[in-house]
Amino acid sequence: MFCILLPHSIAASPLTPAENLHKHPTWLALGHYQKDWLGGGYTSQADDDGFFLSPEGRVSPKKELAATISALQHPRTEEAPLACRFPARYIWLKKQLRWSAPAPDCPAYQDWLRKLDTRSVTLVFAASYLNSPSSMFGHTFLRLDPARNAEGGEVMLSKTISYAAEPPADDNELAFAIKGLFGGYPGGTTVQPYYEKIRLYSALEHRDLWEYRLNLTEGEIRMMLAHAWELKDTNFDYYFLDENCAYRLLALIDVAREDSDLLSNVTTHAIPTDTVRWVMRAGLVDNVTWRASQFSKAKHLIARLPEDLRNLSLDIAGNRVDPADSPAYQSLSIDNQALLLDATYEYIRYQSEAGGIPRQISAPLSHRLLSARSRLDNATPTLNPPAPEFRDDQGHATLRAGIAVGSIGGREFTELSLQPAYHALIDPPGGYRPGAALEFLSTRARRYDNGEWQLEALTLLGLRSITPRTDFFSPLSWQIGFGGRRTDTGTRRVLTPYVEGGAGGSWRVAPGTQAFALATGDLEVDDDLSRGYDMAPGADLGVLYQGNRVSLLAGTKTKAWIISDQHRQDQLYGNAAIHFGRSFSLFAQGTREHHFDRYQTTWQMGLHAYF
Amino acid sequence: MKKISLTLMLLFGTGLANAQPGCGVGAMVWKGQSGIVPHVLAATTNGMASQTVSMTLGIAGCNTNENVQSMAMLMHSRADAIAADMARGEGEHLTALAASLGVAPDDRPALYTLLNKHFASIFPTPETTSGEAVNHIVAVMEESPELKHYVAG
Repeated sequence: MFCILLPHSIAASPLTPAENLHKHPTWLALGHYQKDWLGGGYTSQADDDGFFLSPEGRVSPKKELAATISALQHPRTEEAPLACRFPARYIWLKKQLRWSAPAPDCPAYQDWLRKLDTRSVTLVFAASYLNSPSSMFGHTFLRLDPARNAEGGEVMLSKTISYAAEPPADDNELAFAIKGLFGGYPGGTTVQPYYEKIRLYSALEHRDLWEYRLNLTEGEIRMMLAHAWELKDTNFDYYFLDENCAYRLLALIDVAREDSDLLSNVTTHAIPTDTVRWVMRAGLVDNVTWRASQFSKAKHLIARLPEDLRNLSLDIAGNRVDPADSPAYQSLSIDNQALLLDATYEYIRYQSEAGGIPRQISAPLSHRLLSARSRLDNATPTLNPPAPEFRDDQGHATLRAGIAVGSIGGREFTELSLQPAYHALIDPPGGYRPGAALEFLSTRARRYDNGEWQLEALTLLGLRSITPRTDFFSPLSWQIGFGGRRTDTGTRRVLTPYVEGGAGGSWRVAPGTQAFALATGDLEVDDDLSRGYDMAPGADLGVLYQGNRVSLLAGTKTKAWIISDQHRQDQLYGNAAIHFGRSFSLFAQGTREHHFDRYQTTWQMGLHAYF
Repeated sequence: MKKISLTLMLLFGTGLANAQPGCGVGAMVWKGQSGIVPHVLAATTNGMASQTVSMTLGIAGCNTNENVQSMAMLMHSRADAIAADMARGEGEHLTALAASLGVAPDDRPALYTLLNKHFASIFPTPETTSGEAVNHIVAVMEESPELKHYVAG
C-alpha cells in the first residue's frame, strides 16, 4: 500500500523532509517508482541512469529524494541549475518544503513552455480498427491547447505529446512484435502538431479520434508539463502490454493531479480503452468530442447520396462520366451537385490511398472534381457525420466471465468461462466496431454430471472481421484463430491443438444485420488422431445481428475432414444474447451436428458478466 | 529540389520523406518515417515520425513571415484536405490554415471566400506542388487590401 501523507503532517516540519515524504504518491510518480513484487521495496521503471541523482536512485525513492533535495538546495554554480533539468521535482519540493528562494532562471525550459503555449490539456484516443492487429487496443496521446474552447480547426495547430516505441526503421513486423512484447525497444517522448496526428490516424489509418478534455487547473498543467520536460530525453523501455503509450500518459496525469493515482489501476496490462475509463472515473474529464476519420466522412457522405446519384458517383469515380459534360449532373440542384462532388472526391481519396485507383487516374480526376466544386456557389455546407451512439470507453468492460448449464448428447454439464480480452460478436456491441471480434486467452471449462472437470477450449487468439460489402467498399471478411479445443475422434472427445482460418464476403440484408459466406480451413494436430493430424476445407454461412438489446449469430458450417477422420462434419449453429446494459448478458447457444453418421445436439444457456 | 505535387499528396504525401533542403517550401529536412514501414506498425510507432519537420531553411519563396512558414508546414502535411476545404469554401482544415496565418476570426470569412474564388489559380494543375500552392495563396492574399498584412514579409 502507498502511505499517503496528508498535507498537515508536512506542515508539522516545514524545513526538513517529513519522515515519509519519499513515499508520497507524487514523489513515487515523479520517479516512476513501482512497488516490487517481492519485499517492501520500490523500483523505478525509468531505464536511464541520467534520470537519477543518487547512484541508488533507481531502487531507493528515499535516497533519490535526499540526493534531489541536497542538489537543489546547494546548486553548483558552474552547472546549469538542476531545477532546470528537473522542474517538476523542484516545483513540488519547493511547495512541500516551503522553500522561499526564488526559482532559478531556465531559458531553454521557459522557451519550450512558451512554444507549447498550454491552457488546456486533452487526452486523445485513437479508436481501433480490426484490419490492423496492433491498433486493436487503441492508442492514446495528449494534446496541449492554447485556449480552453478553441474550435475544431484551430486545435489542429496544437502540439501533442505522445509516447511510443522507437524501433529502427528496418526491423520487420515479427521482430517488432517480439521485441515490443519483451521490451527490446527504447521508448521516447514525441512532440508533434496535432495535424500530423490527424494525418496519421484519420487519413492514413482510418481511425476516428475521441478527444477528452481534462479539467486540470493551471498549476496541475504546469506540473504535468514540467514532468514531461523531465522525461523528454529519458529512456523507458517500451512494452506493448503494460508499459505502453497509455501507461506513460497515466503517469503524467498522476504527477499533475495529486490524488488521481491512476497507475494503481494497472495490473498486468494497460489497454488504452481501459485507461480512458479510469481517467473518466477519476472525474478528470469535463468535455468529450469526436473527430471522424476521413473514411468515416466518406462513408457518411455516400450514405447521404440519394439512391439515384450513387451510380452516377461510381461512374464519375470510375472515370466513365465527366461531370462537365454529363446532362445527368447538369440537371441536379446546386446542393446535390455539391454533395455528389464531395462524396465522390472523398471516395476517390480513400480508394487511391487504399491502392484501389492508380495515381495517374486519381490525381487529374480529383483535381477536376475540386475545380468543379470550387465553382459552385452557396451550396449548403457539408455536414460532418454524427458521433457514434457509444464512445469506445462506454463499451462493455474488457474482461468477461460466464457461467452456464447445458448438455452434449444428453450428458449434462456446467460451464465456466473467462475471456480476459476483448470482445466477441455476441457481446454488447456499443463502443466496439460492428462485426469485429478479438478474443485473447479465452478459456472454457466444463464440469460434467459425473463430477469430472474438463477443459473444453482455450483460444489463445481469435480474430474475426465481418464487414458488409457495398457498391462503394468491398472489404474482405475474415477470421483466424488458434489454441486448443475438444475434437470428436468418433469414439471420444480429445483436447487438440488447432489452427483455423477463413475468408469471404458479407452483405447487409437489413438494418444491423449481415449475411456472410466464408471459405474455411481447419488444422488439428494430436497423436489421438489416427494419422497424427487432420485438416478440413469447409464453409461457414451465417447471419449476424448486433443490437443494443439483442445479438444473434446463426448459420451452418460444414467441414470435410480429409486425413484422419474422413467424415464430413455438418453443423447448424445458433448463438443469441440478451443484453442488460453493458454489464450483463443472458446467452444461449445450440448446435445440431451430423458427424460419423450420427446426430448430436449440444446446447447451453447462462450468464455473461463484464468487469 | 524534389517536387512535391498535389497528386502525391492525394496519395498521402509519401514523397515528403524525400524532400531536399533548399529554398522554397520543399526546403524542409524530414527525418524518420521512410514510407517502407509496414502499415501495421504505424499505430504504435508514430514516435518514429518525430520531428517530421525538424528544421526549416527559408520557406515559401524565402518569405520570412513566420506565420507563412507555419502555414507552409500545415500545407505539407494536409494539402489534400486543405484543397478540398478550399474548393468547398469551408471546413476545419481551412480554419486551421487561417489560424496558422494568424488571421483574426472576423477576417476569416473573407479569406475563405477569397481562396475559394481563386481555387483555380492556387491549384492550377493536378501537378501543383504544395510549395507552389503556398506561394499562390500568398500572392492571392497580397492582392486583397484587407488580408495582405497577414502575409507581409
